[in-house]
Amino acid sequence: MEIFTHENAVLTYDPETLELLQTWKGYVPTELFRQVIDATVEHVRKHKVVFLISDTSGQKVVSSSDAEYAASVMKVMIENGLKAMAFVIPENVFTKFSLKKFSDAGHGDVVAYFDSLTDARKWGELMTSKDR
Amino acid sequence: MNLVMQNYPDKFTEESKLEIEALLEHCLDGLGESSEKFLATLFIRAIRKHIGPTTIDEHIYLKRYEVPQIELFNVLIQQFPFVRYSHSIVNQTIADIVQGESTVTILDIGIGQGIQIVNLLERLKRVSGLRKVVVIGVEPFEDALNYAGELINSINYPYNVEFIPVCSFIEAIDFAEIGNMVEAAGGPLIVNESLALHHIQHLNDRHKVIQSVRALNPKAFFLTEPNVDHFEPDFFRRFQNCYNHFYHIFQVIDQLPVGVKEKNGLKLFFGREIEDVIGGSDHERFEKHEPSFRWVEKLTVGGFKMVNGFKGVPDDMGYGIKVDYDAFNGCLGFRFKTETIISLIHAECI
Repeated sequence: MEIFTHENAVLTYDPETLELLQTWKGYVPTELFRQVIDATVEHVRKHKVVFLISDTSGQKVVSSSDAEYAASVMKVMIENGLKAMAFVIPENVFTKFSLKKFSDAGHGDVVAYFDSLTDARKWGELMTSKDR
Repeated sequence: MNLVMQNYPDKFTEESKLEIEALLEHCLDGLGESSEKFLATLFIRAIRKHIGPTTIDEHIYLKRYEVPQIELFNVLIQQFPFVRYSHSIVNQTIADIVQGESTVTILDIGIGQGIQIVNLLERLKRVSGLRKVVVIGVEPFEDALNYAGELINSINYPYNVEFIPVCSFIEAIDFAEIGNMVEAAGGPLIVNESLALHHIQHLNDRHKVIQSVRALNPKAFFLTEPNVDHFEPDFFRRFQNCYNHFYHIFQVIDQLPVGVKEKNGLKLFFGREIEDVIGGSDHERFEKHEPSFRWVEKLTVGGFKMVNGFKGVPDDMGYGIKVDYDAFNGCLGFRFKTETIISLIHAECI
């Protein structure tokens, strides 16, 4: 089910697989970006979410402060039951730079990067099979 | 860098500014180890005033690569092949031309601190029978001109040396007065300019200077000029020319037998030229290089013919630099890969 909908960002929750999916599209200004991040954290707090996917394949550049903001909420989501997070890596080179900012922030053992949503989901199933 | 070009000068949106910021951040990470990153950072810095402030201040990162001017100068003169060999080839050729003369007059346009002229005077020690050398040094910066005078006078020569300093931009000079000096000095006149004529802002002044030099009836006129079109008024073309030129120069710098600190110091030094070429509006710019064929055109119009009388051209300059005489354009080019970085022109009166 869609819990946040905007033409540049959609947040979808699957209660069966306990997967939360962020789908980004185009340029997402700071306010909207942080709104989606906050909605994600809120949903993880209130519902059982074990796997988060951030599909950035169609996303354009993200500011370094926004990338840091996204990285900063990882801790609280893990404390609230999140087991793994996967990124579908962007085609846009500038978004790749932004993603590096996120990866530099740590959480390397529970965060992974993939070329496709299918590969991300396969990894997520492996990582969270005993929690689903 | 296409991103920067597409949005210059006033189309930078919030998104494109963020993209430039992301690119800048990427470049600043490992800046000292990558020529491409260094070059991109210098280009972004050059047009910073059009992009506006971002959260990243590249100046702080670049500042750590600053090297004292005197150290840079030594690297440029002794190690940077384009400067080192252009001085040495021109000086050796002049020494060859003045063989057998007892008096020689040299008009050095843009004498700077006198490094090339002092090396030439050293080389002229081997010219038998030479009794007097008159150096007319033209330079707009008084400190440099004074330094050149002190340097020339600090050395003993087997012949008399007279130094006549002229503190002026070459286009503002009274050539009738120079003509009187040349006549009084006697002997054949050799005119040399190294990286100076491209500072003349207007084309008609460039023509006038060349025609005024021609009126002095020199035995030879040597020009050393970067072979790149930074006179181009169109920003996009100038930007591409500039990027291509310095991309190749930086690849040569990467090969120099000096430390990383000196290499990056040199790149930063060239960053000031990049800033001038693409950062300033047309009337503010100072570094208005022109390709060598355009200098040859002006010389031809002015009554000169190009000759290939260069001496001391090395078989191998190292660093992958090829030196070829381009008979069609009438100049000796120092080429690295696809880019002729600098050209030497030897002109004689028709």
